[in-house]
Amino acid sequence: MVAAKSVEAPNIGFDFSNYARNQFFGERLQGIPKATSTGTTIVGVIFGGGDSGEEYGVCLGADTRATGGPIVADKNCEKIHYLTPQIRCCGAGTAADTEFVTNLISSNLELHALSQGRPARVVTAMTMLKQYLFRYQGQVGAHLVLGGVDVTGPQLFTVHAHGSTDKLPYVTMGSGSLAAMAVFESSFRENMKREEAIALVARAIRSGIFNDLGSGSNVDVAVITKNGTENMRNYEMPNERGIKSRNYKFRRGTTAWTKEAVRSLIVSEEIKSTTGAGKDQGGVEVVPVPTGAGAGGEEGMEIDT
Amino acid sequence: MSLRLVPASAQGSTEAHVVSSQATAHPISGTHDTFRHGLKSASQSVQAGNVSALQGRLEKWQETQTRLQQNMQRSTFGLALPLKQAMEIKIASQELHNPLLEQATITGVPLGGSSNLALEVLRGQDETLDAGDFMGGSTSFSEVLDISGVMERSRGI
Repeated sequence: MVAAKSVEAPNIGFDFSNYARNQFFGERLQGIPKATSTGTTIVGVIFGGGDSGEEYGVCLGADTRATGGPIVADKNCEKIHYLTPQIRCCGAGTAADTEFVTNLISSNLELHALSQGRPARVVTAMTMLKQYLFRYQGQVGAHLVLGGVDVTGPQLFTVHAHGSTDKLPYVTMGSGSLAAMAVFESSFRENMKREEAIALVARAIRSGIFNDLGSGSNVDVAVITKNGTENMRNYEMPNERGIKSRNYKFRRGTTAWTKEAVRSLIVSEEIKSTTGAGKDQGGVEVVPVPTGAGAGGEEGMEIDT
Repeated sequence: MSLRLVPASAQGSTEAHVVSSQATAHPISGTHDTFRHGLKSASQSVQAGNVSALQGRLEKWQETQTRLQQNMQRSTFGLALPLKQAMEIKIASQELHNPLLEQATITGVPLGGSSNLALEVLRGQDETLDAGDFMGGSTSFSEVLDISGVMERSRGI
Protein backbone atom coordinates (compact mmCIF):
# COMPACT_ATOMS: atom_id res chain seq x y z
CA MET A 1 0.00 0.00 0.00
CA VAL A 2 1.37 3.39 -0.90
CA ALA A 3 1.48 6.00 1.83
CA ALA A 4 0.15 9.45 1.08
CA LYS A 5 2.43 12.27 1.97
CA SER A 6 1.19 14.51 4.73
CA VAL A 7 0.36 17.99 3.48
CA GLU A 8 3.00 20.42 4.49
CA ALA A 9 3.61 24.03 3.54
CA PRO A 10 6.22 24.47 0.80
CA ASN A 11 9.60 25.59 2.02
CA ILE A 12 9.62 29.36 1.61
CA GLY A 13 13.27 29.70 2.55
CA PHE A 14 12.77 32.36 5.20
CA ASP A 15 12.18 31.77 8.88
CA PHE A 16 9.43 33.85 10.51
CA SER A 17 9.46 32.24 13.94
CA ASN A 18 10.87 35.36 15.60
CA TYR A 19 8.15 37.64 14.22
CA ALA A 20 6.04 37.82 17.37
CA ARG A 21 9.10 38.22 19.57
CA ASN A 22 10.34 41.09 17.40
CA GLN A 23 6.94 42.79 17.55
CA PHE A 24 7.09 42.54 21.33
CA PHE A 25 10.59 44.05 21.43
CA GLY A 26 9.52 46.75 19.01
CA GLU A 27 6.85 47.89 21.40
CA ARG A 28 9.24 47.88 24.34
CA LEU A 29 12.00 49.78 22.51
CA GLN A 30 11.67 52.77 20.21
CA GLY A 31 10.61 50.58 17.33
CA ILE A 32 11.83 47.62 15.37
CA PRO A 33 15.36 48.32 14.07
CA LYS A 34 15.32 48.53 10.28
CA ALA A 35 17.81 46.71 8.10
CA THR A 36 20.51 49.26 7.35
CA SER A 37 20.53 50.09 3.69
CA THR A 38 23.55 51.30 1.81
CA GLY A 39 23.78 54.73 0.27
CA THR A 40 24.83 54.41 -3.34
CA THR A 41 25.09 56.06 -6.70
CA ILE A 42 24.48 53.75 -9.65
CA VAL A 43 23.92 54.87 -13.24
CA GLY A 44 23.40 53.44 -16.69
CA VAL A 45 23.43 54.91 -20.17
CA ILE A 46 22.87 53.61 -23.71
CA PHE A 47 25.37 54.76 -26.32
CA GLY A 48 26.35 54.12 -29.91
CA GLY A 49 24.46 53.57 -33.13
CA GLY A 50 23.09 56.32 -35.34
CA ASP A 51 25.54 59.03 -36.36
CA SER A 52 28.26 58.00 -33.96
CA GLY A 53 29.34 55.23 -36.31
CA GLU A 54 30.00 52.88 -33.44
CA GLU A 55 28.05 49.82 -32.46
CA TYR A 56 25.39 49.92 -29.77
CA GLY A 57 26.24 49.40 -26.15
CA VAL A 58 25.32 50.01 -22.55
CA CYS A 59 27.61 51.70 -20.04
CA LEU A 60 26.99 51.09 -16.33
CA GLY A 61 28.67 52.88 -13.46
CA ALA A 62 28.68 52.61 -9.68
CA ASP A 63 30.49 54.00 -6.66
CA THR A 64 32.20 51.64 -4.23
CA ARG A 65 31.18 52.67 -0.73
CA ALA A 66 29.01 50.44 1.45
CA THR A 67 27.59 52.16 4.54
CA GLY A 68 25.98 50.72 7.63
CA GLY A 69 24.17 53.71 9.05
CA PRO A 70 26.77 56.46 9.62
CA ILE A 71 29.76 54.13 9.33
CA VAL A 72 31.49 53.09 6.14
CA ALA A 73 31.32 49.31 6.15
CA ASP A 74 33.29 48.66 2.97
CA LYS A 75 35.54 51.20 1.26
CA ASN A 76 35.81 49.31 -2.01
CA CYS A 77 32.87 47.03 -2.56
CA GLU A 78 31.63 45.83 -5.94
CA LYS A 79 28.18 46.99 -6.89
CA ILE A 80 28.11 45.86 -10.50
CA HIS A 81 26.95 42.26 -10.36
CA TYR A 82 27.19 39.59 -13.02
CA LEU A 83 24.01 38.12 -14.47
CA THR A 84 25.07 36.68 -17.82
CA PRO A 85 28.15 37.34 -19.98
CA GLN A 86 26.27 40.19 -21.68
CA ILE A 87 24.02 41.43 -18.89
CA ARG A 88 25.12 43.26 -15.77
CA CYS A 89 23.13 44.59 -12.84
CA CYS A 90 24.05 47.45 -10.49
CA GLY A 91 22.48 47.14 -7.04
CA ALA A 92 21.42 49.78 -4.52
CA GLY A 93 19.57 49.25 -1.24
CA THR A 94 20.30 46.48 1.23
CA ALA A 95 23.62 44.96 0.15
CA ALA A 96 22.77 41.36 1.07
CA ASP A 97 19.46 41.54 -0.75
CA THR A 98 20.99 42.84 -3.99
CA GLU A 99 23.75 40.22 -3.76
CA PHE A 100 21.42 37.27 -3.25
CA VAL A 101 18.78 38.37 -5.72
CA THR A 102 21.32 38.88 -8.50
CA ASN A 103 22.99 35.55 -7.74
CA LEU A 104 19.67 33.72 -7.80
CA ILE A 105 18.48 35.35 -11.01
CA SER A 106 21.89 34.75 -12.60
CA SER A 107 21.52 31.01 -11.89
CA ASN A 108 17.98 31.00 -13.23
CA LEU A 109 19.06 32.82 -16.38
CA GLU A 110 21.80 30.26 -17.01
CA LEU A 111 19.32 27.40 -16.61
CA HIS A 112 16.88 29.21 -18.88
CA ALA A 113 19.51 29.80 -21.56
CA LEU A 114 20.59 26.16 -21.43
CA SER A 115 17.04 24.93 -21.83
CA GLN A 116 16.20 27.38 -24.62
CA GLY A 117 19.45 26.92 -26.46
CA ARG A 118 20.03 30.65 -26.93
CA PRO A 119 21.53 33.45 -24.79
CA ALA A 120 19.10 35.00 -22.32
CA ARG A 121 17.58 38.37 -23.09
CA VAL A 122 17.64 41.40 -20.83
CA VAL A 123 13.83 41.48 -20.65
CA THR A 124 13.94 37.93 -19.31
CA ALA A 125 16.22 39.05 -16.50
CA MET A 126 14.00 42.04 -15.83
CA THR A 127 10.85 39.91 -15.71
CA MET A 128 12.42 37.35 -13.38
CA LEU A 129 13.62 40.11 -11.06
CA LYS A 130 10.32 41.97 -10.97
CA GLN A 131 8.27 38.83 -10.36
CA TYR A 132 10.56 37.77 -7.52
CA LEU A 133 10.60 41.21 -5.87
CA PHE A 134 6.83 41.69 -6.18
CA ARG A 135 6.24 38.44 -4.34
CA TYR A 136 8.12 39.79 -1.30
CA GLN A 137 6.19 43.08 -1.24
CA GLY A 138 9.30 45.23 -1.10
CA GLN A 139 10.76 43.46 1.95
CA VAL A 140 13.69 42.38 -0.23
CA GLY A 141 15.32 45.81 -0.46
CA ALA A 142 16.94 45.62 -3.88
CA HIS A 143 16.86 48.64 -6.19
CA LEU A 144 18.60 47.66 -9.40
CA VAL A 145 19.85 49.13 -12.65
CA LEU A 146 19.83 46.34 -15.20
CA GLY A 147 21.64 46.74 -18.50
CA GLY A 148 22.82 44.53 -21.31
CA VAL A 149 23.00 43.81 -25.00
CA ASP A 150 21.12 40.94 -26.60
CA VAL A 151 19.73 40.03 -30.02
CA THR A 152 17.16 42.83 -29.78
CA GLY A 153 19.83 45.46 -29.13
CA PRO A 154 20.94 47.45 -26.07
CA GLN A 155 18.46 47.47 -23.17
CA LEU A 156 18.50 49.45 -19.93
CA PHE A 157 15.96 48.98 -17.13
CA THR A 158 15.48 49.98 -13.51
CA VAL A 159 13.81 47.61 -11.07
CA HIS A 160 12.54 48.94 -7.75
CA ALA A 161 12.18 46.86 -4.59
CA HIS A 162 8.41 46.59 -4.89
CA GLY A 163 8.63 45.21 -8.41
CA SER A 164 8.05 48.22 -10.67
CA THR A 165 10.29 48.66 -13.69
CA ASP A 166 11.19 51.42 -16.14
CA LYS A 167 12.80 51.28 -19.56
CA LEU A 168 14.88 54.38 -20.28
CA PRO A 169 17.93 55.53 -22.24
CA TYR A 170 19.66 56.83 -19.10
CA VAL A 171 18.94 55.97 -15.46
CA THR A 172 20.28 56.66 -11.98
CA MET A 173 19.41 55.03 -8.64
CA GLY A 174 20.44 55.21 -5.03
CA SER A 175 20.87 58.06 -2.59
CA GLY A 176 23.17 59.89 -5.02
CA SER A 177 20.75 59.53 -7.91
CA LEU A 178 19.74 63.19 -7.93
CA ALA A 179 23.34 64.39 -8.17
CA ALA A 180 24.05 61.93 -10.97
CA MET A 181 20.80 62.68 -12.78
CA ALA A 182 21.65 66.38 -12.79
CA VAL A 183 24.81 65.54 -14.75
CA PHE A 184 22.87 63.34 -17.17
CA GLU A 185 20.10 65.82 -17.76
CA SER A 186 22.57 68.48 -18.80
CA SER A 187 25.03 66.41 -20.81
CA PHE A 188 23.27 63.33 -22.19
CA ARG A 189 22.67 63.08 -25.92
CA GLU A 190 21.66 60.17 -28.08
CA ASN A 191 24.20 58.19 -30.11
CA MET A 192 27.27 59.05 -28.07
CA LYS A 193 30.62 57.51 -28.81
CA ARG A 194 32.01 54.95 -26.38
CA GLU A 195 34.62 57.27 -24.83
CA GLU A 196 32.05 60.01 -24.42
CA ALA A 197 29.68 57.64 -22.67
CA ILE A 198 32.37 56.39 -20.28
CA ALA A 199 33.42 59.96 -19.48
CA LEU A 200 29.80 60.96 -18.86
CA VAL A 201 29.15 57.98 -16.59
CA ALA A 202 32.37 58.63 -14.63
CA ARG A 203 31.39 62.28 -14.24
CA ALA A 204 27.92 61.34 -12.99
CA ILE A 205 29.34 58.91 -10.41
CA ARG A 206 31.91 61.49 -9.30
CA SER A 207 29.07 63.93 -8.82
CA GLY A 208 27.33 61.38 -6.58
CA ILE A 209 30.56 60.61 -4.71
CA PHE A 210 31.32 64.24 -3.87
CA ASN A 211 27.80 65.48 -3.24
CA ASP A 212 26.20 62.57 -1.41
CA LEU A 213 27.30 61.30 1.99
CA GLY A 214 26.18 57.76 1.29
CA SER A 215 28.39 57.38 -1.79
CA GLY A 216 32.12 57.58 -1.96
CA SER A 217 35.50 55.98 -2.71
CA ASN A 218 36.06 54.91 -6.32
CA VAL A 219 34.25 54.73 -9.63
CA ASP A 220 33.51 51.34 -11.22
CA VAL A 221 32.51 51.20 -14.88
CA ALA A 222 31.26 48.33 -17.04
CA VAL A 223 30.83 48.65 -20.81
CA ILE A 224 28.66 46.06 -22.56
CA THR A 225 28.53 45.62 -26.32
CA LYS A 226 27.38 42.75 -28.47
CA ASN A 227 30.92 41.36 -28.45
CA GLY A 228 31.09 41.13 -24.67
CA THR A 229 31.59 43.06 -21.47
CA GLU A 230 34.53 45.09 -20.36
CA ASN A 231 34.74 45.50 -16.59
CA MET A 232 36.75 48.50 -15.48
CA ARG A 233 37.05 47.99 -11.77
CA ASN A 234 38.22 51.16 -10.01
CA TYR A 235 38.23 53.08 -13.30
CA GLU A 236 38.81 56.30 -11.34
CA MET A 237 40.07 56.64 -7.81
CA PRO A 238 39.39 60.25 -6.81
CA ASN A 239 39.64 59.48 -3.10
CA GLU A 240 43.13 58.12 -2.66
CA ARG A 241 44.35 58.16 0.90
CA GLY A 242 46.92 60.93 1.37
CA ILE A 243 50.42 60.38 2.73
CA LYS A 244 50.57 61.35 6.36
CA SER A 245 52.65 64.46 6.89
CA ARG A 246 54.11 63.50 10.27
CA ASN A 247 55.95 60.40 11.31
CA TYR A 248 54.39 58.48 14.16
CA LYS A 249 57.28 56.16 14.88
CA PHE A 250 59.19 56.53 18.13
CA ARG A 251 62.93 56.86 18.21
CA ARG A 252 64.73 53.90 19.74
CA GLY A 253 65.65 54.90 23.26
CA THR A 254 62.52 56.99 23.94
CA THR A 255 61.73 54.69 26.81
CA ALA A 256 64.67 53.73 29.00
CA TRP A 257 65.21 50.06 29.88
CA THR A 258 67.50 48.33 32.31
CA LYS A 259 67.88 44.82 30.89
CA GLU A 260 67.33 43.27 27.47
CA ALA A 261 66.89 39.60 26.60
CA VAL A 262 65.72 38.48 23.17
CA ARG A 263 64.61 34.89 22.64
CA SER A 264 63.32 33.63 19.33
CA LEU A 265 60.31 31.37 19.77
CA ILE A 266 60.88 29.64 16.46
CA VAL A 267 64.19 27.78 16.45
CA SER A 268 64.03 26.69 12.84
CA GLU A 269 61.35 26.35 10.19
CA GLU A 270 61.26 24.31 7.05
CA ILE A 271 58.68 24.78 4.34
CA LYS A 272 58.07 21.97 1.90
CA SER A 273 56.18 22.97 -1.19
CA THR A 274 53.79 20.15 -2.03
CA THR A 275 50.59 19.59 -3.93
CA GLY A 276 48.14 16.74 -3.72
CA ALA A 277 46.77 16.60 -0.18
CA GLY A 278 50.08 17.48 1.42
CA LYS A 279 51.80 14.25 0.41
CA ASP A 280 55.50 14.51 -0.20
CA GLN A 281 56.24 14.86 -3.89
CA GLY A 282 59.61 13.63 -4.98
CA GLY A 283 61.81 16.07 -6.80
CA VAL A 284 60.45 19.23 -5.17
CA GLU A 285 63.01 21.40 -3.48
CA VAL A 286 62.68 22.11 0.20
CA VAL A 287 63.16 25.78 1.05
CA PRO A 288 64.02 26.81 4.61
CA VAL A 289 62.29 30.06 5.53
CA PRO A 290 64.21 32.62 7.64
CA THR A 291 62.37 33.28 10.86
CA GLY A 292 60.83 36.65 11.48
CA ALA A 293 59.81 37.21 7.89
CA GLY A 294 56.26 37.02 6.65
CA ALA A 295 53.19 39.20 6.90
CA GLY A 296 53.99 41.98 9.29
CA GLY A 297 57.05 40.10 10.45
CA GLU A 298 60.04 42.03 9.31
CA GLU A 299 59.28 45.16 7.41
CA GLY A 300 56.25 46.30 9.35
CA MET A 301 57.96 46.29 12.71
CA GLU A 302 60.21 49.28 12.39
CA ILE A 303 61.14 50.76 15.71
CA ASP A 304 63.86 53.06 14.56
CA THR A 305 63.10 56.08 12.43
CA MET B 1 -14.08 30.14 -10.21
CA SER B 2 -11.36 32.38 -8.84
CA LEU B 3 -8.75 33.92 -11.13
CA ARG B 4 -6.82 35.48 -8.28
CA LEU B 5 -3.23 36.46 -9.12
CA VAL B 6 -1.88 36.90 -5.62
CA PRO B 7 -3.01 35.27 -2.36
CA ALA B 8 -5.65 37.16 -0.41
CA SER B 9 -4.16 39.16 2.44
CA ALA B 10 -3.92 36.34 4.86
CA GLN B 11 -4.41 36.62 8.54
CA GLY B 12 -1.61 34.20 9.06
CA SER B 13 0.22 31.17 7.86
CA THR B 14 -0.44 27.47 7.71
CA GLU B 15 2.36 26.72 10.13
CA ALA B 16 0.20 25.68 13.03
CA HIS B 17 3.11 24.58 15.14
CA VAL B 18 4.45 28.11 15.54
CA VAL B 19 3.21 29.13 18.94
CA SER B 20 3.54 32.77 19.76
CA SER B 21 2.83 34.41 23.05
CA GLN B 22 2.26 37.97 21.88
CA ALA B 23 -1.33 38.30 23.13
CA THR B 24 -0.53 36.77 26.50
CA ALA B 25 2.96 38.17 26.91
CA HIS B 26 4.34 39.09 30.28
CA PRO B 27 5.23 42.81 30.24
CA ILE B 28 8.81 42.23 31.40
CA SER B 29 10.01 38.90 30.09
CA GLY B 30 7.94 38.63 26.91
CA THR B 31 7.14 35.00 27.52
CA HIS B 32 3.72 33.51 28.16
CA ASP B 33 2.18 34.97 31.33
CA THR B 34 0.64 31.98 33.07
CA PHE B 35 -0.37 33.98 36.11
CA ARG B 36 -2.56 36.37 34.17
CA HIS B 37 -3.78 34.23 31.30
CA GLY B 38 -3.64 30.67 32.48
CA LEU B 39 -1.76 27.74 31.00
CA LYS B 40 -0.46 27.93 27.48
CA SER B 41 -2.89 26.63 24.87
CA ALA B 42 -2.75 25.92 21.17
CA SER B 43 -5.43 28.49 20.31
CA GLN B 44 -3.01 31.28 21.10
CA SER B 45 -0.97 30.59 18.00
CA VAL B 46 -3.78 31.46 15.60
CA GLN B 47 -4.56 34.87 17.00
CA ALA B 48 -4.29 37.74 14.59
CA GLY B 49 -1.10 39.69 14.93
CA ASN B 50 0.88 36.66 15.99
CA VAL B 51 2.07 35.77 12.54
CA SER B 52 3.42 37.85 9.73
CA ALA B 53 1.20 38.59 6.71
CA LEU B 54 4.20 38.14 4.43
CA GLN B 55 4.66 34.57 5.63
CA GLY B 56 1.09 33.66 4.72
CA ARG B 57 1.48 35.29 1.32
CA LEU B 58 4.68 33.39 0.57
CA GLU B 59 3.29 30.04 1.70
CA LYS B 60 0.15 30.39 -0.41
CA TRP B 61 1.93 31.78 -3.45
CA GLN B 62 2.63 28.56 -5.36
CA GLU B 63 -0.83 27.20 -4.59
CA THR B 64 -2.49 30.39 -5.87
CA GLN B 65 -0.51 30.32 -9.10
CA THR B 66 -1.40 26.69 -9.82
CA ARG B 67 -5.05 27.36 -9.04
CA LEU B 68 -5.05 30.32 -11.44
CA GLN B 69 -3.46 28.20 -14.14
CA GLN B 70 -5.91 25.36 -13.59
CA ASN B 71 -8.91 27.69 -13.75
CA MET B 72 -7.70 29.28 -16.95
CA GLN B 73 -7.02 25.89 -18.50
CA ARG B 74 -10.46 24.68 -17.45
CA SER B 75 -12.19 27.63 -19.09
CA THR B 76 -10.07 27.37 -22.24
CA PHE B 77 -9.72 23.62 -22.79
CA GLY B 78 -12.38 22.06 -20.61
CA LEU B 79 -12.21 20.00 -17.47
CA ALA B 80 -10.24 17.09 -18.92
CA LEU B 81 -6.88 18.86 -19.17
CA PRO B 82 -6.55 20.18 -15.60
CA LEU B 83 -8.02 16.95 -14.31
CA LYS B 84 -5.39 14.94 -16.14
CA GLN B 85 -2.61 17.18 -14.84
CA ALA B 86 -3.88 16.87 -11.28
CA MET B 87 -4.01 13.10 -11.68
CA GLU B 88 -0.42 12.99 -12.94
CA ILE B 89 0.78 15.14 -10.07
CA LYS B 90 -0.97 12.87 -7.59
CA ILE B 91 0.66 9.80 -9.12
CA ALA B 92 4.10 11.40 -9.14
CA SER B 93 3.89 12.51 -5.52
CA GLN B 94 3.19 9.07 -4.15
CA GLU B 95 5.78 8.17 -1.62
CA LEU B 96 8.06 5.19 -1.70
CA HIS B 97 7.94 2.65 1.05
CA ASN B 98 11.04 3.88 2.84
CA PRO B 99 11.64 7.60 3.40
CA LEU B 100 15.40 7.04 3.25
CA LEU B 101 15.18 6.13 -0.41
CA GLU B 102 13.78 9.55 -1.20
CA GLN B 103 16.95 11.29 -0.21
CA ALA B 104 19.58 11.41 -2.85
CA THR B 105 22.51 12.26 -0.61
CA ILE B 106 23.72 10.92 2.69
CA THR B 107 23.26 14.25 4.35
CA GLY B 108 19.68 14.77 3.32
CA VAL B 109 17.57 16.44 0.66
CA PRO B 110 19.67 17.42 -2.36
CA LEU B 111 20.27 21.07 -3.13
CA GLY B 112 17.47 22.15 -5.41
CA GLY B 113 14.77 21.05 -3.03
CA SER B 114 13.57 17.59 -3.82
CA SER B 115 14.68 14.29 -5.22
CA ASN B 116 11.38 13.77 -6.99
CA LEU B 117 12.34 14.96 -10.47
CA ALA B 118 9.07 13.85 -12.08
CA LEU B 119 7.05 15.93 -9.68
CA GLU B 120 9.20 18.97 -10.31
CA VAL B 121 8.84 18.58 -14.08
CA LEU B 122 5.05 18.27 -13.77
CA ARG B 123 4.91 21.39 -11.62
CA GLY B 124 7.15 23.26 -14.03
CA GLN B 125 9.80 23.87 -11.37
CA ASP B 126 12.59 21.75 -12.80
CA GLU B 127 14.47 24.58 -14.51
CA THR B 128 14.19 27.35 -11.93
CA LEU B 129 15.65 27.93 -8.53
CA ASP B 130 13.80 29.66 -5.74
CA ALA B 131 14.75 30.93 -2.30
CA GLY B 132 13.35 27.77 -0.72
CA ASP B 133 15.65 25.54 -2.74
CA PHE B 134 18.86 26.67 -1.15
CA MET B 135 17.78 28.22 2.13
CA GLY B 136 16.26 26.11 4.84
CA GLY B 137 14.33 28.73 6.75
CA SER B 138 12.86 27.02 9.74
CA THR B 139 13.35 23.52 8.29
CA SER B 140 16.74 21.93 8.31
CA PHE B 141 18.27 20.00 5.46
CA SER B 142 19.82 17.45 7.78
CA GLU B 143 19.40 13.72 7.50
CA VAL B 144 16.48 11.71 8.79
CA LEU B 145 17.43 10.55 12.27
CA ASP B 146 14.14 9.09 13.47
CA ILE B 147 12.98 6.77 10.68
CA SER B 148 10.33 5.12 12.84
CA GLY B 149 8.83 8.51 13.59
CA VAL B 150 8.72 9.49 9.92
CA MET B 151 7.13 6.18 8.94
CA GLU B 152 4.53 6.48 11.69
CA ARG B 153 3.62 10.01 10.66
CA SER B 154 3.34 9.19 6.98
CA ARG B 155 0.98 6.29 7.69
CA GLY B 156 -0.98 8.07 10.37
CA ILE B 157 -0.16 5.58 13.12
